Amino acid sequence: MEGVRVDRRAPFDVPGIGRIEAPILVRSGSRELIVAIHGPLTPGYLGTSELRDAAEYGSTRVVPIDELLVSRNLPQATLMVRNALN
Amino acid sequence: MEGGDLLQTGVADSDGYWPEEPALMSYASLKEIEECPRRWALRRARYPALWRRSGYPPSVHLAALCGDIVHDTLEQLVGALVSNGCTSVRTEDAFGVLKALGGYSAVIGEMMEARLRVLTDNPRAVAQLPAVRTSLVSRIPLMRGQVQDLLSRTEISPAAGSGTVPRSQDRGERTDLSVGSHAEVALRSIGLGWTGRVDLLTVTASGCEIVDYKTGAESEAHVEQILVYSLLWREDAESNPGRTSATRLQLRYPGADLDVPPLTSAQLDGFAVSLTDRTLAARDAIRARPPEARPGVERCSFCPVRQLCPEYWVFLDSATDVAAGEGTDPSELVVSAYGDIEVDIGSRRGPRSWDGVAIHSAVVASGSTIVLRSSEDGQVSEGTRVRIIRALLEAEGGGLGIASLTPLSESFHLRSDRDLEEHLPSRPKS
Repeated sequence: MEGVRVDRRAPFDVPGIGRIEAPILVRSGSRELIVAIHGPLTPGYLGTSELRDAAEYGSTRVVPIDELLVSRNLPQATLMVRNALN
Repeated sequence: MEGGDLLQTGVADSDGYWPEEPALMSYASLKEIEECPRRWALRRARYPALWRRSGYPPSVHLAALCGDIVHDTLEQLVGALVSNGCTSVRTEDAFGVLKALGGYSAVIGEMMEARLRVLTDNPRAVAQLPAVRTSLVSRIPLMRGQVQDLLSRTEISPAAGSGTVPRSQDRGERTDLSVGSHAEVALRSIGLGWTGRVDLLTVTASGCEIVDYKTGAESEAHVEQILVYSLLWREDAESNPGRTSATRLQLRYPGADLDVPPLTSAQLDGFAVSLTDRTLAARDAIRARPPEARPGVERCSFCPVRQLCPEYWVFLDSATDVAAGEGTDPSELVVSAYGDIEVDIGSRRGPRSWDGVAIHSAVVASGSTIVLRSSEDGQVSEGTRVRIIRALLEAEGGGLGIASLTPLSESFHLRSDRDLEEHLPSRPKS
């Protein structure tokens, strides 16, 4: 994906929380989004309280992806991230 | 509150009263009237036998409902940010405001419940509500992402007196807007006879900036709509006594903003003349009884009141080429598609199947024999005529067709033949 930068475990500042670790940070131009994994039985529930707070009160979009989808259908998981960027 | 011109649709329980024309025109109304005056009128007529609310009960479209919920959430959050003097959502103050509100998901949940409450007395929606709720809940993370995305690009200028409740001109007195950002501003021009509601309006020393949030795809109509807002801003003597102009117009879509160049003063004058002409034509169109129907494949396929429009059902017969593909030999045609069909129900074949004769359909030839299958009891009965919306239609080589009612289908019983003769414009001989 041209012009898209992807970092793992990237430090990321969230106003009101401070610095958190983004599991996957995707940047495209001025747009940023955090990709985070959730368990198949807990849809949308993110792993850490900082991530949950960032998703609920922060300004940067947090895209939750089902870990089962990542292991069984990576192209679909990738498509979800691409759609979120577009 | 009965009164007005009587509306007879030919559909059981769906007679009522034609609506009055709107006191003030809005962009959505003008566009809908220009597209099809009949649709505008049927959607807003009163149907006392169906329900107590005004207008025809709307059908439920999940994508549209999600868009409405995202828009409602934005309205709520922008209002809260403005009233708390936040300059953007990327500040610690905004974090506190969102935390006090319970977070994006909580606000989305509240907006979702409010939208669902409106549907609880809607006879077309009530059976679908549990499934609709489940689908909406599963989409909350997606909606939250859209809200975050749209909100993250929003800059707010604290207005004088921010920290107070945002000004809603519907609830209070209309006065001039102070310098700064204002959420959900109702603009009004008595001279033009128009009204409009702006999502976010920021008054500056030299004019104003208008932001309109859009959850769908880009469209020319959105551009025209925001130009209408800029005209209303200039013409609204109460909100804008200095008659300043809009200096920046922005359509905010998921993923991108579209800057619309503001019109010059002379261009706005010309735009006002054209809008006045269009408004007069639209008002003439909806005063007619019945208002003109303008059937078309694209516009009718999403029309929520097409079951009440006889012209649509006659038009359907001529839309066969669209269903088949132009130039297709009907004898070779194999079709399996969702579509609408009007059927005379004959004798019962089985617990949930009937013989029938197709009256109007884009897939099954008029007058041909079909088998009708229902998905539950009581949807159809022998010796009646029904209009079915979104039936699964199957036809092969011009032979026997099958129409199946699915959970997505809706059936509407027509009154007796004698009544129908008075209301239908024409019927094929069968």
